[in-house]
Amino acid sequence: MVDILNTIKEDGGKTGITRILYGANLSHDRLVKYIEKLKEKNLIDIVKEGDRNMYLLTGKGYRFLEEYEKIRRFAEAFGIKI
Amino acid sequence: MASILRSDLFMESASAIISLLVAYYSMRAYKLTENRSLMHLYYGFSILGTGMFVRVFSLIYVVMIMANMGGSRNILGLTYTIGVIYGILRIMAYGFFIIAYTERKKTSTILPAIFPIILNPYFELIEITMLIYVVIQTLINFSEKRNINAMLVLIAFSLLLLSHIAFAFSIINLRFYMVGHILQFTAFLSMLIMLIRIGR
Repeated sequence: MVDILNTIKEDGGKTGITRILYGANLSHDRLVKYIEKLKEKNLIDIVKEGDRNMYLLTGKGYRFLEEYEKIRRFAEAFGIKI
Repeated sequence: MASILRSDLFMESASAIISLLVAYYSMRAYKLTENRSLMHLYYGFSILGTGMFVRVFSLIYVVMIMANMGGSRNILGLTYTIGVIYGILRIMAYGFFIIAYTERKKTSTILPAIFPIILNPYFELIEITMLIYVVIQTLINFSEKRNINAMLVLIAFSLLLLSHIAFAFSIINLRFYMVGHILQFTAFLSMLIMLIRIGR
């Protein structure tokens, strides 16, 4: 799920499904499942642009990624892979 | 002698606070990632910090009783019990650190007399053995990552190991008792620097 959020962030906080599929390296089914979970947790928003859905990183999503980066560095210092 | 005990209790209290801070951070990390190694780090540092506080408060209590009653068999018995409880808690804490790394692979005049009782030499030997394993794991991690945070964790566990070696020698020479506490305090300062760097 972090890979999904990072992909959206890398694209300036808004991107389409194809870009997330490649960025997060997930199957379509799993991606749909994870996107639902991220939406439930208010980490992303989905907006319509023309005929396609665009995925937006929310403020909570940005804060989550910042926190996750701290946790990743903490775990890495102890040699724990997350 | 009382000043030794005062500074020892001060350093141990500060180390306990840092240990509980690392535990808090580990718990936050565990909640976010559900990684079991982080949960074991949380248990380890919580038990270590709690054990230090138990020892600090118990020794303050013992010193207060001694100031009123002098040394008696009961006090020596109490001091011995504190030492045993503290030793068991530390062994439990280091046990959790080992589990964390194993999972990673899967993926007054009477005062000098009470020091050897506070520091049970058998526990020290067990703890030294356990910490050698943890230090080797942190050394492997540092050689792989080559970053400052991994180095600070390696320094912290290495100093903790040296502190236990010093505590083991305090039975022969009391100076090692203070050296052990300085090393232990420095170990936790290293952990604190790592936490501050990560939180920036």
